Amino acid sequence: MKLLKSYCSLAVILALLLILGCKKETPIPSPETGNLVLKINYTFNNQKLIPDSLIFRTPTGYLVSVSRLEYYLSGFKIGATNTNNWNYLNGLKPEGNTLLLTDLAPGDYQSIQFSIGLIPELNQHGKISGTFENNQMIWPTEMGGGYHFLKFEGRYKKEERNPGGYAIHLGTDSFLIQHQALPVQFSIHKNQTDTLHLTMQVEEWLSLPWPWDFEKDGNYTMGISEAMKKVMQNGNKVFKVD
Amino acid sequence: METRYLKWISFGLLTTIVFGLAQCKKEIASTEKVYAPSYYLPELPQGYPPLINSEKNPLTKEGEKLGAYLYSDPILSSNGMTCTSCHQPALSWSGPLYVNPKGIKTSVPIHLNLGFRTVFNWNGSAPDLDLVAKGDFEPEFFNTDSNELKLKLQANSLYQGLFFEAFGVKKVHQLTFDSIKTLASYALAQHLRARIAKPSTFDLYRQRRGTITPEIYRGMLLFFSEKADCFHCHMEPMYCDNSAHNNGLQDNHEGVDKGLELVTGKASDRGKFITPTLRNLSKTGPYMHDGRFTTLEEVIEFYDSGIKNSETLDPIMFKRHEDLKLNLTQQDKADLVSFLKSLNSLEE
Repeated sequence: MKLLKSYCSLAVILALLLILGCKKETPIPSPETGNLVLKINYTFNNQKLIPDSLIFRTPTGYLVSVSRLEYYLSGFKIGATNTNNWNYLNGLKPEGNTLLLTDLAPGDYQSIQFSIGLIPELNQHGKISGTFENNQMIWPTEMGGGYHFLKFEGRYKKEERNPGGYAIHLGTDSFLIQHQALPVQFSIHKNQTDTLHLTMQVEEWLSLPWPWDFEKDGNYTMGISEAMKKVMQNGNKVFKVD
Repeated sequence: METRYLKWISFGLLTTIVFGLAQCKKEIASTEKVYAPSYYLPELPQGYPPLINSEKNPLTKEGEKLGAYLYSDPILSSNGMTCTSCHQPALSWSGPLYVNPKGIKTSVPIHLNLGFRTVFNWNGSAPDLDLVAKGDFEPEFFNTDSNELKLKLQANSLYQGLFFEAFGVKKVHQLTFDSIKTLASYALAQHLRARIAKPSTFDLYRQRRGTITPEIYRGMLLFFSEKADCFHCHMEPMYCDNSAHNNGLQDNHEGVDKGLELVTGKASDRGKFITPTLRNLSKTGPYMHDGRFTTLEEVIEFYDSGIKNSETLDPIMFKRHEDLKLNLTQQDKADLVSFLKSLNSLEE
């Protein structure tokens, strides 16, 4: 009888091991997801943005050109779902105007939201890949660390005065721009890549609520909290859906 | 009877000879070299971006070795010049001011960390490192005679072997002159890709493996501040930005001083030159594209109070100071020089 019990116990253990072993080997089905490509267009007062052209008029009456427009997008929220995607973008280079959001749950959505800059979890040296572009966006440790969220540079001119130069830079966690949600109906399909077209209205950086006057507000912002706060507020509606 | 034996002996000898020859042939075949390059990527210092390897000319140990030989050997030239004639090892592969036959002065670009760059030459005229050295065969530099080069390569078993190991070419001297130039340029590019700066005093400080002096520390704070604002174009760890800028050397640009405009044809690129690395800076003078400054003190004096406005002056140069001045003190300037010297590699 004892021997029979031992055999039974052994059989049970073996069966359990087998079941557990099988369970491990059975792949957990990964959810079928889709991707979304964001294609970003750049305009200034509804005109196509032409680099290095001192032709664009600001609300405060300056003519401006744009010679650099580099930034990050991160903290994407598709509908009610947060994603881990982030991207470096360069508004003046064709290859820098597209970003891919991956592993999105299929379905119909009514809005998209994101931050301009890097969310705090990413905004530390070494947290994002050390590409040449990313290294160039570093916000020096000596000035608070992390990365530039935005580099927006060019020349400005008013009336007959000689053109000056501006460098609107934004960085450090306190000045991350939570862009307002963009209402748009779109769908994500399983195993497909859908596309959404956005436009950055570049003039918005210099418009409301702080119409930028280079002679009063300054021609650079890096490290100046008051100026960066204004840029942050101007920046929360620079994008629209096409 | 004797004939019968002889026949057997002859048959035996013949068989031995044939078999022996076959074996001999086999041995000859087995000692013939096989083209099998060793692809590799060098180990990179902490914080460096990925090395830009070439799809058409991927880095191999054999290609890099050939490039290392060619770099300092006059075999490629008909006038005794080598790459090291201008890019001297003791000067961190830079050199004294170069003056071309037309009298145009050029500061010799440093040959260090080129594997991370996407654009070459002061005015950005060379987008492909693999082909940069092809220009060196011209009369201005190596003045290479194609027939002479082919004869030299034919007579040189070392290079015959090196070219085979690097590119699988058995008789390099039988290639066209253009193909030889291309392969030599490829090998030199591989050698340059593998030439990575050794750690500096400041690198060790950043990695918490070394200390810096109070002068270097103060210079560092200035360098990475809006006051001196050096970092926007010279961000660590490369201390350059793969871009061209007009940094205000002059308000009027003629001839070679037009810089990138001569390459793109765009007026908006007038006076723009590629940002050089600041690594080993104190060894690589004279400074600026035309070598107009001989000391680091002169360079800092220029950035402090010598910037000239023009239509394409980089916007960064306007920051903080309407008069385009940094208003650095003498102490600030000395500290910046100390910091810049701390970017020198501790060994070559």
